[in-house]
Amino acid sequence: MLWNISTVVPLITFFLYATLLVLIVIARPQTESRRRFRWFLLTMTLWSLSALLVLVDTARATIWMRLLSASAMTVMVSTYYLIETIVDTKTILSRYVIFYGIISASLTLFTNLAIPEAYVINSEVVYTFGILMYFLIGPSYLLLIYSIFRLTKNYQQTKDAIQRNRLLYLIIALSLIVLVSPINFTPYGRYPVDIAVNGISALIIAYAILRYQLLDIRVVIRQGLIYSIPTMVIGATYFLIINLALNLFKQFSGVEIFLLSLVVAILSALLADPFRVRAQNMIDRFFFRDKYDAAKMLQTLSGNVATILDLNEVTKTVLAEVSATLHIPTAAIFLRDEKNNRFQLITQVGYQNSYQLVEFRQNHPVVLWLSTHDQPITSQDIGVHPQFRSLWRSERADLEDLNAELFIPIKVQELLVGILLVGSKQSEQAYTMEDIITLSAVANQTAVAIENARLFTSEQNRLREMDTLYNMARQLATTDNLYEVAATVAEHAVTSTQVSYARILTREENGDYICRAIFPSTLPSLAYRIGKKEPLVAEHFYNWVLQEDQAAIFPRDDPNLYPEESAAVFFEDTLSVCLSPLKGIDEYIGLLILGDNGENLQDSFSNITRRLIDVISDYAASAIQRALLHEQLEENFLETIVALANAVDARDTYTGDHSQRMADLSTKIGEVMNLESEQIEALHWASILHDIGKIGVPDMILNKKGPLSKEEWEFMKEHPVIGAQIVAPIKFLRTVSPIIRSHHEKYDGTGYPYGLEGEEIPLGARILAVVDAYIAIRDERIYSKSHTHEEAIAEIRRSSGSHFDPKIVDVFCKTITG
Amino acid sequence: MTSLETLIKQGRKEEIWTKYCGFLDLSIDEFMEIQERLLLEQIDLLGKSMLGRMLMGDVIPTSVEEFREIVPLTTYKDYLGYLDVQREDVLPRQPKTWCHTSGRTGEYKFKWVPYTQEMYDRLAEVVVAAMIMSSVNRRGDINLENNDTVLLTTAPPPYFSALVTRATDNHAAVRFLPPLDEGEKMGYAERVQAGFKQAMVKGLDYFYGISSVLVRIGQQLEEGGTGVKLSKDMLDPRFIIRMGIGFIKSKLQGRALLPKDIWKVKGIMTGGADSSVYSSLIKEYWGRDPLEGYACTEGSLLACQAWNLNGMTFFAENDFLEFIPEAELQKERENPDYKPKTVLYDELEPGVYELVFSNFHGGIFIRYRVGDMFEVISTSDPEINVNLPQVRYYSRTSDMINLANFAFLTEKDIWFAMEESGVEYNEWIARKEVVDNRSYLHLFVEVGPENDLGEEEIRQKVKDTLYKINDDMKSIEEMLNYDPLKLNILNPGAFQAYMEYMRSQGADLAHTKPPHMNPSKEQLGILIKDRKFKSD
Repeated sequence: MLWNISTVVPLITFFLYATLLVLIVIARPQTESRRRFRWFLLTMTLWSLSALLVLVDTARATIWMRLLSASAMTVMVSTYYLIETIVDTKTILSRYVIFYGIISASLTLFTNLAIPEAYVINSEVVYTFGILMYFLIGPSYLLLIYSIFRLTKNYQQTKDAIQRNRLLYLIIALSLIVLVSPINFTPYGRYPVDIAVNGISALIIAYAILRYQLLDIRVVIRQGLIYSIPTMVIGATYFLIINLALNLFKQFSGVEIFLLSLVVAILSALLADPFRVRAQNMIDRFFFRDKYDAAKMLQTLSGNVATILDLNEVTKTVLAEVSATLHIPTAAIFLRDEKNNRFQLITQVGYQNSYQLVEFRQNHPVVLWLSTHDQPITSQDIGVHPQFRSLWRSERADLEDLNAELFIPIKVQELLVGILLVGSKQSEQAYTMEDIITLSAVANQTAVAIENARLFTSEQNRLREMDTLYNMARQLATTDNLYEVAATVAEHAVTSTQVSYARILTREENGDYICRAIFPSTLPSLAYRIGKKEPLVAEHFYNWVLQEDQAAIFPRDDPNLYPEESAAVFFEDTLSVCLSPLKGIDEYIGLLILGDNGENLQDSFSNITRRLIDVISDYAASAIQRALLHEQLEENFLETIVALANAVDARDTYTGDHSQRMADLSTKIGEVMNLESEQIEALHWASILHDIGKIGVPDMILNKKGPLSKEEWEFMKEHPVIGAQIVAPIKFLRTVSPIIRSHHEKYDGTGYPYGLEGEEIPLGARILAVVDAYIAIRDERIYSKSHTHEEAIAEIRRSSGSHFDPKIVDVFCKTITG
Repeated sequence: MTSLETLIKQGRKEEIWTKYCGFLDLSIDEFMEIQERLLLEQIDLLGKSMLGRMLMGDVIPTSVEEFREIVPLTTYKDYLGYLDVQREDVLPRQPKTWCHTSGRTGEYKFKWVPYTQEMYDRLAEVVVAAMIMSSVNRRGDINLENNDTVLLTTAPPPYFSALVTRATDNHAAVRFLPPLDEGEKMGYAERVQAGFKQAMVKGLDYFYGISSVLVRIGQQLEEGGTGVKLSKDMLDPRFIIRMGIGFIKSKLQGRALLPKDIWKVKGIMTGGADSSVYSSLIKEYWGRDPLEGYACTEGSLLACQAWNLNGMTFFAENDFLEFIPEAELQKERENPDYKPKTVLYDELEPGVYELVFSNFHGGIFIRYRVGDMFEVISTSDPEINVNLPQVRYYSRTSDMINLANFAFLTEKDIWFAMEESGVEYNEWIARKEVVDNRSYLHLFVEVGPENDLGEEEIRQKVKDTLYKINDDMKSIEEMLNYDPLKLNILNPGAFQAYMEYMRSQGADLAHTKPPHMNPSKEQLGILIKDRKFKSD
């Protein structure tokens, strides 16, 4: 037997197949695809064995040649069934292919219709094909081509990257068989090219079937080309140069040829690396066009999004680029809402508007997974990993509606701030590892942009808060009035925290809670409560909150609240309230109550909002305590003044209820004249206190029975000024002071202390002058007897235009009926 | 979602393992996260259903803590008037099907249970998980293949076991022997026989069901019979080859033909109190250790062993799991009004607990006491790197006596039998005893002064009545081929002597009498002191 390339190749191939066959027979588990692969290997083993025997057992070359051809046909048949299992679809053809295989193999093997004769000459097989051969072998090739077609179709349909890779291996292996087999019909058929190629194909198929995780076929081919193309080109160039030199310069000696070879070798070595790099770039461009485009996209994005501070604009830009570059019809970005920590849809392409309602809760399994993993997850992962068993049915339905293929985390310093979600590619192909890397890079860039925008927004919010607090503090500094202070706090609390309303309650010494302000004051169910005592049932609840010494938040349906308490605290459509204690120096002075109609407590009262509420409460407590002290001070002062006024009344010759009667009459006139309530109140207090200046007038002058001397009179005329000075420091009596000062002025300018005339005299003082005169005439005094009503009216009318304002006299005379 | 069939076809072992057996890799926190989320979904569903609201009370809980605090524990009694008449309008979700309990003699003839589509799907997935683990020896391995054969030994619909089979049939590309449509029309014995007949030809890959059936088949073969009648199937070459190889194997080892000689079974799954009793026999006959699981009609398949066949691990996503510690049960026994407190899965420590569960996925059982007890053997299994509590079935909580999983006898059953037998007796106690892997009901009777019957006569009379009132008891003898009743007569005045002894020991009045059902060995020892039995 002659050992040469023609015998060694089939021998090696035979051992290859036989080994594989043994391995696959003993391998467990025996899946369907492995069983069919067993048949495939068996036919391949027969094929290579017969190819070897033709050359070895030359005496029976015809028989072995026939076995060789029959094996080739059965290989095609077994390949057909193997592929059928892999693509998992049966056709009607499947029933008949086996019969074709048996018949064609039998005819080839047992008749001379396919191969009449074969013999070996000088280790070369010489054979002739019978007419039937073409009819028998033709369908085999068609079956093989059909199998490749089915694999290709399956490759296009499947979205599983691993399966696609596997299919690609099989397509390549089968294509090699198809391409090489026709060599048998050419003069080169005498060389075992087909056997060698089949051996390689079998190895590829075995690798594809027996291994689950396969190397990316594109990487394998690329690496192959990167090494082979430059080597072949450089080698060929080297060979050509040397060959050319030898042909051109035949007189070259051995040394010269050696030197020439050396020079060419050095030059080749020098040029090889740049050429290899260029070749590699070209191959990369050819194989990884998508990767190139993606790199360009990332470059564009990094330039664009870094300068955008608006979140919506950032996300829109990102999605537009991703969608266009990777040809993804549907994609969306969900961002974490800091208020409630839910991930809400910010931007989308390709989805309908109804998807705006879809959101991921903080404890959504997808969110939890992405929070703890840096890698994207696929929809397949969601169906497989046990962590996603906790998905609710509604959440599963949402995910199905979104029909996302990939969920990519957008993280800032390990914190998940968003999710980039992409649907299927337009090509319906699965996402490759390069795609996933690209999308992860996009997500990282988005995260940076989001963080920038968030910091910017956060800074803006902080400025807004500071602005609010600054304005509130300034306004609070301008007033000591409790109601004004409370109203200012309530208004700023609402505007800065964006809640529905705010109320300020103060706690009185007796434990009552009084509502001091409500904002907005237009709330119909609340407005009437200002200045009113809070319901008794709520007191216990308020006291509890004060004892807790921190802001407390309650939902409307809080099981800890009694219905009566709930009714007292929640108004209108309020769904949650925040009660913040107002703590002054060493004591609780009341509560700031904020109500909101947000469904979620976290929506209404986030941590940031609560912090703001705490600051507002501190400001408010300080200002309210100041206002309360001031109010107390004024009350004390007023009490003192009233006591003084009573003392004056007692010293004077008036009847005991003089001041009160004056107050009654003057306020009555004020009401008839449609004066403002503040003016009427001023008239009231002016009537009570109008003669308080007499405190500085000695009793001997005040109670003198005869006429006063000039000095005494001058002394007496000072009392309006003294009275005005006494009440001036009391803020709420500041409109009273001018009335007291002018109540002895006369309309014609002959009065005192300043001789004011007509309208120069304050209206209140003009009214008081008429009323004071009427009561003086009617009363019995030391220096005069009392007069009747008619006499008093007549006297007043007589002085109309001189002493008194005629218009007031008219009103007075019509109003007072005795 | 790629189907199991496709995953197997494509050899995607890692995905299959993660999907079905990945629950073993959950951390306890992840496990509890699943529990909490699904409970909140379930509370929401229950709050929208009439029966759910009725059982939960006026206030709908908003958290796990509130749920455990507010919602009372329930038993099947709480569902009467709704489930027994299969009212669907009061349920949280429209059920896909109804099934009922099998083989237990309790207060109700059947306990009807609704199953939603989600529960049904989950049931199939956990059964596949058990199948996978029953047939491998290491993590990540998958021996389950499409077209594997499974012996159909389960009851017909609407029994729960039939639901298990149906769900598995829908989910996995396995072949039941005989096929479901045929098998469900057959009687139990006929079905099992038909299954084995087909398995002789087609092979047998998996078995799940009652351990004693497997043992019985093994015994039959060992005794020289296959139980399969002559038929043309025996001419099938596959039958001949299988039997031939089996015969040679057994002869080479010099013993009778056993099932393991005929079939190379991939996996065996059993459940119930007697699983551990029969496991060594099953291994001997079938060549493979059975994998134990725990399932009940009301709660689906709740737990199963891993491939190393140590403790069982609960599934996180079928039911919300609570456990009543033994100390709490003791308090309840002392004061029936006491409301026992529960602990959660992450709070389990080694010890004995009663299981309480609440269905997920729109099921109706809420904080349900199914009456089964588990022993927590460890809080993890380092051998296979599982960090979840490991349990094994302990017993029924009630005073039922479980005989080979065929018959469940209550105190009332036995009392009734004693009364109806016409035997003149003073007092009795009953114990379950396992001798040579067989479960017996052992009665100890103190006869009255007028009694003139011998021990065997009394035993026969009690047995006859027991068989009348409890068919399952009778079927033990028919199916498993042994008489499950033992009876001994105690010395006259044995119970009085017991009481006096206990009093002398300062026992509380309540403890001066031994319990009727399953008294402890110590209690029995006092009672039978100085008594010589025939069997001694």
